[in-house]
Amino acid sequence: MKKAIIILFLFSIDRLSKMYLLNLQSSGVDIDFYIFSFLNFYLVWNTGIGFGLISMDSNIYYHLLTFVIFLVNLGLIFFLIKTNGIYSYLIAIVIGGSLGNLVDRAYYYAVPDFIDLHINNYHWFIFNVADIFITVGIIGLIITEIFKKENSDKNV
Amino acid sequence: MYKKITYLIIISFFLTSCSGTFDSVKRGLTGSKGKSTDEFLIKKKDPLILPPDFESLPPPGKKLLTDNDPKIFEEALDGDDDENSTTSSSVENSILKKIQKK
Repeated sequence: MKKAIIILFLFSIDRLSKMYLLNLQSSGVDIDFYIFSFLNFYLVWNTGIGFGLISMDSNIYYHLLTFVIFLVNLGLIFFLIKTNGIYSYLIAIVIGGSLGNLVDRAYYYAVPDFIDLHINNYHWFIFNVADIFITVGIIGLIITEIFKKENSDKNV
Repeated sequence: MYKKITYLIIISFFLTSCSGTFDSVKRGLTGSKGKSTDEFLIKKKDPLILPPDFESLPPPGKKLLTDNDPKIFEEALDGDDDENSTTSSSVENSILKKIQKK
């Protein structure tokens, strides 16, 4: 139940952020403005996967990729049910974000990205709120995996 | 452990959607967001030269009498009045003389 609430909460935050910016754009505001000197909002649409990879115009490949992402999400839900403890919470964080991106892929046929972090003129990849949750969850899972391995080595 | 971490990284590629590989790198390197003008479309300007009647032009700072100067109009009007009055009086005189003859 707790994990379902986490997923729903993160999914809602992502959806609200995207809807707010898309409504702002439809009202005539150009989504290209500064929040801080190192952060600005700049709306771009990504039809591919992470880091703009496998971006394509072909519909068949796009739907195939969306299906693969859907399968990955199903796999994560399966692991969520199977696992317990901190693992399951981290997987829930990842699912909360990935469902947000999957819904965009199905509804808009692209994912809106708008957070543009930069130092002077050097820009990082433009991402969205869902990407933050996914990254936090994945980094958490990697760290947990490393610590788990270290603990098991000590016990031996 | 390494296998799991590798799988997690691969999965993260599929789930995230950060974008603009080429675009953001290009923006970062060039520091520009908008489209710049094509340099080949810019017309080459001719070199600066002095006008042929440059010597005859008045020096800077000297007050010029322009067409909008009210003095010109006043002088012209005054002159016109005198001429008109003399011509009109001569015409009147000749007419009067003709009438008197009759």
